[in-house]
Amino acid sequence: MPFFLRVGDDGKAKVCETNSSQLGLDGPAHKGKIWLDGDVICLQFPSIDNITVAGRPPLQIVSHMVRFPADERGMTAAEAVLHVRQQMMQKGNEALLLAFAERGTDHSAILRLYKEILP
Amino acid sequence: MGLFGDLFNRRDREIAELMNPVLAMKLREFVLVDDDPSYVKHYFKFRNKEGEDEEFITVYRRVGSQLEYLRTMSRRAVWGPEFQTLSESGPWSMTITHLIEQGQRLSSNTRPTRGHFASKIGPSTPTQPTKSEAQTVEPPRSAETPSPVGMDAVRAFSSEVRKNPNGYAVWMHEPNPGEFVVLLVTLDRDGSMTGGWSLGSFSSRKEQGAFALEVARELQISLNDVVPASEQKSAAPTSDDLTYSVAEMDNQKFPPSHGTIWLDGDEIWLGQATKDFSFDGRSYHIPGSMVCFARAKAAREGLLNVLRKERDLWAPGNEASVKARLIAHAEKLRR
Repeated sequence: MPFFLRVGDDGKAKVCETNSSQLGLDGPAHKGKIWLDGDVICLQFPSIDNITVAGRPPLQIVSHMVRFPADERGMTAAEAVLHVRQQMMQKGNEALLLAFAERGTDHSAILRLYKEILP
Repeated sequence: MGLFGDLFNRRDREIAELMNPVLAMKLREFVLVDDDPSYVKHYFKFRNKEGEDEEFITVYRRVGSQLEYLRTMSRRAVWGPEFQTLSESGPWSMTITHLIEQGQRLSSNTRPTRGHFASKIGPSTPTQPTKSEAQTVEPPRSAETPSPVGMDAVRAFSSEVRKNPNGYAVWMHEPNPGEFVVLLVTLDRDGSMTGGWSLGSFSSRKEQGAFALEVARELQISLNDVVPASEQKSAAPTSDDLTYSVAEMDNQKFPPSHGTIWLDGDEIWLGQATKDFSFDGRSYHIPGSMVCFARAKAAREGLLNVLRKERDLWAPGNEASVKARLIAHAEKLRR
């Protein structure tokens, strides 16, 4: 995948070339699936399993979906959720991952936590 | 007092009775139930205005020479034959306070009763568990290692646990190195253990964790790991001691997505997989793509447009029109 499109601040796309081996279609671990259901953005994340940390039982964050209106405001909120998902898997943010893991199998608790931490 | 004073006083009483229904009932029986080494209970039987009996039990735990309030349970005809635990923060809170005060007042002049049925309602110190029951245990310091009881035995607890899910928890404990025990414990209002059952002992932490998680899900209660204070870490966990695995995503599976998306730095990436299909003996190819979008209004609109086009392209409908759309799209990309 040496070529990709970059859509800039002005909304214009240009073809870019990269040598990065990371630009495969698989994407990083914090990726999600996205689709439109009518005028609703659906964002779904896979489960995170076997979360183990010293002194804690194995935990899990179930696969879950968050929905937003398909407009500028909804897209901004979806970005914030993508940001949370990225952050929770970064070094130094283990507490964030555990905060979700402690609510891991309760979908409504997971959504409440998103609401609490989203700007 | 006059007419208005009389009316307002009557209104005040009605409101008070609404808030605390016990005020409108007649106390017919009070029993100081005192034959358990760990618990003392105050049993009240009232007769309400409808002529029905309503029973309450306030439960206390012995802490040295003091009694610590645990919970209030009640049995009313409309609720069925079982005692239910009353919510402390709900509409019963004034009644509970009233019963606690009334119980303290009455118990000072009441002789303790042994063998009353209320002794077996709510928490009690078990005497001789049968083999078919989960075994009672001391707090986690105990080194008992019973065999796993299995989920059938766990389900036997479910009706009682669901009445008061905050009063129970699943605890994982390692009383001795290499001995991994799962406990179902009863908790007081402060979350301290008041009793419990050992649900099983396992030879690995993985088995212990899997079973504990299954029990916590089945009973819909919290799961905790009991770590001796000497082993507790004061610092937050670090990546050195945290591991996890992320499940695979299959884009072909329902729901059919328009692509995978993630954030990288200050850009949003959208990856779309290659799609191949054939109609009437002819193959068509829609190549995959990778697009990154700036986090700006115009770029967000661009991303939404991509998603809308995908939605419209794959929209279910009559087979001929879907086929025509896909062929037209593939032909356009080929050119």
